[in-house]
Amino acid sequence: MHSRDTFFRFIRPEHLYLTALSFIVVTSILVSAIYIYLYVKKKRHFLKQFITDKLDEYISTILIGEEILPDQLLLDEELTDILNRKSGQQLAIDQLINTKKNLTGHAAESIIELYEKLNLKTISIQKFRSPLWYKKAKGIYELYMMNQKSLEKQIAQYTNSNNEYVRTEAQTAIIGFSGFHGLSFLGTLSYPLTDWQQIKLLEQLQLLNPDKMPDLPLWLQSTNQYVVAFALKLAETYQQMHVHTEVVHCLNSPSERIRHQAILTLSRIAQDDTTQILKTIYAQETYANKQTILKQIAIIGTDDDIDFLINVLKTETNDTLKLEAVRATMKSSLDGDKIIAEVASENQVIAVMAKQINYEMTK
Amino acid sequence: MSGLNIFIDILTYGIFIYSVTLLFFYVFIGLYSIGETRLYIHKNNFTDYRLLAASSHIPSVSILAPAYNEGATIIENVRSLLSLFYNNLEVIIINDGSKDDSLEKLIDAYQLQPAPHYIQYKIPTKEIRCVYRSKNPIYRKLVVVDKVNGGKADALNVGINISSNDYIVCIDVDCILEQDALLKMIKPFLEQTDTKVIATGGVIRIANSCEIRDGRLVKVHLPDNYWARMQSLEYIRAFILGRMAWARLNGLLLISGAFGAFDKQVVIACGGYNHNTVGEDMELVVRMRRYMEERKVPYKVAYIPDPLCWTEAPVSTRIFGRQRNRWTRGTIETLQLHKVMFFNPRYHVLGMLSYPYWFFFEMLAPPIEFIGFFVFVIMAFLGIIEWQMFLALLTFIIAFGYMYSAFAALMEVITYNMYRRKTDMAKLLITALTEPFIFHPFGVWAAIKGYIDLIRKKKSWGEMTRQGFGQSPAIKKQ
Repeated sequence: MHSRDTFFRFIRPEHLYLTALSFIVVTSILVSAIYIYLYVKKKRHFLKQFITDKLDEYISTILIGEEILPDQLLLDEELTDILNRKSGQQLAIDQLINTKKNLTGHAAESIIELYEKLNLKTISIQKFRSPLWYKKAKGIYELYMMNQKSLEKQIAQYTNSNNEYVRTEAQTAIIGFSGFHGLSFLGTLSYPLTDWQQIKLLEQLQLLNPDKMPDLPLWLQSTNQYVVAFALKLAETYQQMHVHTEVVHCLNSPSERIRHQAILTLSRIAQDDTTQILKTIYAQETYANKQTILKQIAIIGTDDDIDFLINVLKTETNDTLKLEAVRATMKSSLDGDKIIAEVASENQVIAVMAKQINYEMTK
Repeated sequence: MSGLNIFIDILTYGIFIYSVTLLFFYVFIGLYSIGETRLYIHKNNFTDYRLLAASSHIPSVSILAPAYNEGATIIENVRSLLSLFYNNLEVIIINDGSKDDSLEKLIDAYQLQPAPHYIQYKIPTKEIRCVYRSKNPIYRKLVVVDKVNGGKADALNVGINISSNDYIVCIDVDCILEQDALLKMIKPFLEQTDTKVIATGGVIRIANSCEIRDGRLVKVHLPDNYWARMQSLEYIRAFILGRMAWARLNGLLLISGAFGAFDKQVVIACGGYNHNTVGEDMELVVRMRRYMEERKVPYKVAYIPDPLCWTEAPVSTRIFGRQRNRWTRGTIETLQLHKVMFFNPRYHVLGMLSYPYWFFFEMLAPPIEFIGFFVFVIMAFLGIIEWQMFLALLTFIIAFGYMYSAFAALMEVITYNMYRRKTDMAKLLITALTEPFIFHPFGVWAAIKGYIDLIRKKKSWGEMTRQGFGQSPAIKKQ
């Protein structure tokens, strides 16, 4: 039998060699591309180093010699040349942003002035006006990092953009420009506000002096569940006692996460009847939320809650909930230890749990 | 047509179709991964992780690090974990019945004392001897659990039972993590909206020959050792191309046991790690996905292409062979346990694409390659095919392999560019030339041995001796 009688009658070695040759040609192109990229990246690295050194020099001159303003600085020719090139401009922007992150007050303002003097603002605006989402988002980022408040109105239009990244950068920018007033975008937001973005905004607000949030009750009743969750976090973080009723209302939300956050918020803005409210909803709550309720009672509970907690200890079958109930009992009452010791005398598991809580409390 | 002709036709057509489909998948994976990596880089271009590292609003995370006879490096490894940027963190070291002095060293170095702890066996495990916490408040994040030896899966299950946080990050204790690794791994969980993120996988890079100081990676070098260097290339291909493409398809079946983050509730609901397989990392991901599919809950397994975790690769053929042997057994065991999903439309991408891909091109690839190679040699000897044809086929496959490796190396340079020196890249590319003649055949042989061991019902992991990254503050190069 010969190969021409088999499958190989359809395929000849020449065909395979030819295809292999084309693979090798592509491989050679790829290898060349690797070295071109390595060269470009290395050049970029040195360019970055040069720009960093030069800008550091200028920044030091501005910061040390208080009488020199950024617009009085004379840029050397080489740097001016580099800053006329696109890659140089981006590197300079990145460098100024990085430096500004570590500075505040006059020093930070000087960086902004330098950014404007080097005409880098125009580059950021060009990016902001780009139809490409990642350029637009980056442009917004640069503009708010350099505190370009004059563009606030234009950026604000994107706080409800259908692109997640443009939207989140615009929201961050508006908070950066207007602080708590910037939160007004929550009133019109129709897209999700992820937990990541919520944390980012909360961290950003934390850098500012707390201010009034007159629309908070409205946000707590928003049809956008993400806005409600964020409003609950705001109420919790800034202890907005006046929205207690609206927060209690959130305990009826069909969303487990909203109810969870409402429980946390209530414990921070607790009133006399708060634990009673939490105890009332306990039975119909999910496992995770039951755990949260017990954890919050451990913080805000009093002797009045002991009967409820003992009942939980006796009726709950889940050990995690029992552990939380032991913790809440021991923390809610001065006699907590004794009460638990009594229960533990008949229940070895509770005794071990009590030992753990005791250890945690004494640490 | 004679019977022999029919047999040879079936064999050759079969192998041809198999090879073409595999090559098509490689091309598809290579190209499809570009979009996912590009999107990730664009998305994270201006994320300031520093702002969130100290946040009290970030979710709580427990790092679970099983340790077995790690006495030589355990102190440094734990120090490295304790220094990670993350506010709500608990580091749980599970001493899995080590025979060396790991526990004593930990007790001394971190001023540990027994701490009463009510242990809930949400997942059944071997007995826990003691839970330790530090007397020193600066080590308040640290929990050390001493347990009876039960293997890695059992140790991780103990960690899950002990953990008091919402998310767990399972790692190999000797891995070096980047400072912001946890923030990057947790981010996908916080970005979920309608689709629940159940797990996040991180890229593993090879740390051999890299400079490590005080448990931190200081400078990246390409490994000096041939086997480790070859694995560097292999990991680039697997992580930058393969896993990114599968993540984009939402069809990822494997998150490396060396570094992965999980939603603890889902892990517990699934029953935790399976200690009856040596591929417990893959098996858990497959089971979690299956659990979500069966409950019709929209879910996602995310992947982070950033080089976040650095590990020591085997440098000897003996240890490397054991590792590949174990991986093969783990893959077969996992696919066997979940065979109900094979081409089952009920499991969507998981059943129709991921599982069949793993079955045909990961599990069956070594025996098909092994048998195929010998059949072709025999056919050439018998004159059924000409030697010229045999060599042409071999050249075709090898040339494709080079092209794929060069593409992976280019993607690495464009994206993370960890090996910046021209000589490093040249070494990597030259090493790639030897792959079809040394590294690959050895890997296939180790996998075949894995099949044999599985048939013999061998369940052990095989000893995985490591050289260690060196003692602080000296720099140790391998």
